[in-house]
Amino acid sequence: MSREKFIEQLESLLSPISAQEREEALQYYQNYFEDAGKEKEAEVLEELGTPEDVAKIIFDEVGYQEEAPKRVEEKKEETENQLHQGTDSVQNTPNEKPKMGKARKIIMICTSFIWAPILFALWIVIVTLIIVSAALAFTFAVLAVAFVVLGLAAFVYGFIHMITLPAFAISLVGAGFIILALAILFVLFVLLFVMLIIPGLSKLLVLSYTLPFKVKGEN
Amino acid sequence: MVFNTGAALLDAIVLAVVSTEKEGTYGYKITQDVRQAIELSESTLYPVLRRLLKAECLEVYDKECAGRNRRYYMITEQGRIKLEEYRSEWKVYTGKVTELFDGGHRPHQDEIEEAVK
Repeated sequence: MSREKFIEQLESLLSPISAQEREEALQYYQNYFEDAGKEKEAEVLEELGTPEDVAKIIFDEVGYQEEAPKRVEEKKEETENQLHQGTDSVQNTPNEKPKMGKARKIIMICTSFIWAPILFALWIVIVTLIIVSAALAFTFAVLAVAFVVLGLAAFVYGFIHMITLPAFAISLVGAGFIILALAILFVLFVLLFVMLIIPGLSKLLVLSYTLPFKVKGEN
Repeated sequence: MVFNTGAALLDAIVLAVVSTEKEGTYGYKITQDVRQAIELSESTLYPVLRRLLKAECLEVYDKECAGRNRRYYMITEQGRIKLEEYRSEWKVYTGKVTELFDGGHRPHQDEIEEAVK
């Protein structure tokens, strides 16, 4: 490589730093070559190393390269951490996680003969409760519909006989009111089961599946 | 050389070299002068000079020489103060290291031993 080529390459490599810094550095090396003289040019070139080496030393001093790649690395780490947290519901410090996971798995497998039957029983209880709740909700729904029909029938029948059989008619209308009230109560029961108890139990079921892998991590 | 030259020592050596030249001196010559004492790669000096310029320990001027501009470096008043600091620090440092190397006459230890007796 010739001296001109060296200066030229150095100039383009130094493009990230300010024009003033670049000029200063280029002038220094230009001067250096001139003072060393033509006969020592090859020697100086060899000892300086590549333009990349020289540029790196200048970057280190100017403080340019110290920052840029670091920021990229940090960002990379951040996104990796986010990914970890997204896939793994265990909330741990990102560095501990893989280690803990492995150790925990081994412990869990070794002690599985203790907790597995208990957990299995728990699952069966929860599943049974869900089925029972669903059945109850269905029953109350059927009852609610039946009571609405019955209540309305009593109401209508009562009105029809209002003149011929007033005492009987009034008690029928009253009964109709009571039956409709009960129907509303049953609707509330159905809503209670469908919207609260069954989803709650389902959540519990899902939780009990992940429980062995979660509890220790959170402690 | 087996010993590393840290940034501070390099600064001190360059300041000392430049301070001997009343009219100032230039990059190539500084490199050659420093090399009489320590090993110095040709690409190491520029960052040192830049650092000393930023700290206002050195100042530059351009002088025409054989039809081209040559940049001269001169020590400033601040640079002289800094150099004096380095000199005294160096004396203390090398004194201590020499003492250790020479097998160590340690008055403190002797005094303690005598007090125990």
